[in-house]
Amino acid sequence: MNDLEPQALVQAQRGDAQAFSQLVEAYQRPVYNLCYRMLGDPYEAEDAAQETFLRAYDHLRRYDAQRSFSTWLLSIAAHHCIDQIRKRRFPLLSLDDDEAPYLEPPDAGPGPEIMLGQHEEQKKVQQLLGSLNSQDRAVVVMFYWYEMSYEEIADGLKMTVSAVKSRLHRARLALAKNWTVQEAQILPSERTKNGKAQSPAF
Amino acid sequence: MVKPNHPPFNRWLLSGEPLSPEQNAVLQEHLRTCPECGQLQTAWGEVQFQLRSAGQVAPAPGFASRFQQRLVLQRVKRQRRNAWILFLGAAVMAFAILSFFFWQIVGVFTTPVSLLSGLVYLWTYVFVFSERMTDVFGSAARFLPSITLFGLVFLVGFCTLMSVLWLVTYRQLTNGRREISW
Repeated sequence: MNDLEPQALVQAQRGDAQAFSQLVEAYQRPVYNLCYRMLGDPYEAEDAAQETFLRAYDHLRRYDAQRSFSTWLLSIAAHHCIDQIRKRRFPLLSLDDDEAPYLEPPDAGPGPEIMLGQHEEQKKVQQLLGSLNSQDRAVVVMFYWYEMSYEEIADGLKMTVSAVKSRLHRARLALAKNWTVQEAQILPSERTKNGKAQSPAF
Repeated sequence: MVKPNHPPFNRWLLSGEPLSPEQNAVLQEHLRTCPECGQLQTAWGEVQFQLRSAGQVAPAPGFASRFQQRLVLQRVKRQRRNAWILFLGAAVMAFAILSFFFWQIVGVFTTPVSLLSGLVYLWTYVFVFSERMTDVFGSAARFLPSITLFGLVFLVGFCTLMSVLWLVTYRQLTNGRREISW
């Protein structure tokens, strides 16, 4: 994650809109990624990421420079996403093909098979994350995508370190269980598909 | 199906912390005899691989410019809200002042005709007054877009306080005159 010059941060805190634009440019990807991993829908993630930056803009004067700026920003995003998930009446885990998030193309320029493979992998990951409750999901996303320490996660999500560890353990167990269930569902359907594909001559 | 009923083995499997050689030996021994924990180990390995290999997804191009647009929209929305708060504050003040005048007028007019004409006069006054106040506070809201909510509350509160002070003073003065006339 980008660590901006403290000067840009100080300028933004003084109300310099240009400096804040630099912050948005630098942190758009990690913030959007967190929102997408939390909400599972690209449109909701875009909205949540925008809202995160608006809140950060409004409360930038309250930001304590002793803390990591990225942790502070991601904690705003995580809290907003947790609130959004709580407000939902129905689960909105969108897995439609036309709602796939924008993935930055790797340098080598992957072919359609690779892109499709990546999309399938993303779907699997989102299905797994979707099985967790919002707090556990936030802990998992912060731990695996941002490599935050237990202390940083605890600080960002306003919980104790032992609560983070306990949530992480519970989430890992749930993810492993759900993986097993997913695999058990996929295998029979693949077997059926293969069976149908066989010619009657065989 | 993975069943989480084998502590401390599933805790060791999922902790991600390095195990001591003794713990590792005990775990390996247990895994040889326990298919459930073996399944958990395999499943967690797969999940971990998926989590670690899933990179960060990026927003659609133009995110920063869309944010700038949203910021502008939010400012406009706040200006409107501030204007509404000012307008409502002014309306409350106007209502208080006019109620006071109305009370005075009702006391002065004795016949129904004079009361009716007084009410028509009052209604016209209210209409004109509210239009003027809308103009005044609308312009103020445009020229003071960065006023905070606290500042706004302070301003409205201050104006209300001054109005009440003015009303009390006015009432005391008029009562004084009546006493003299009596």
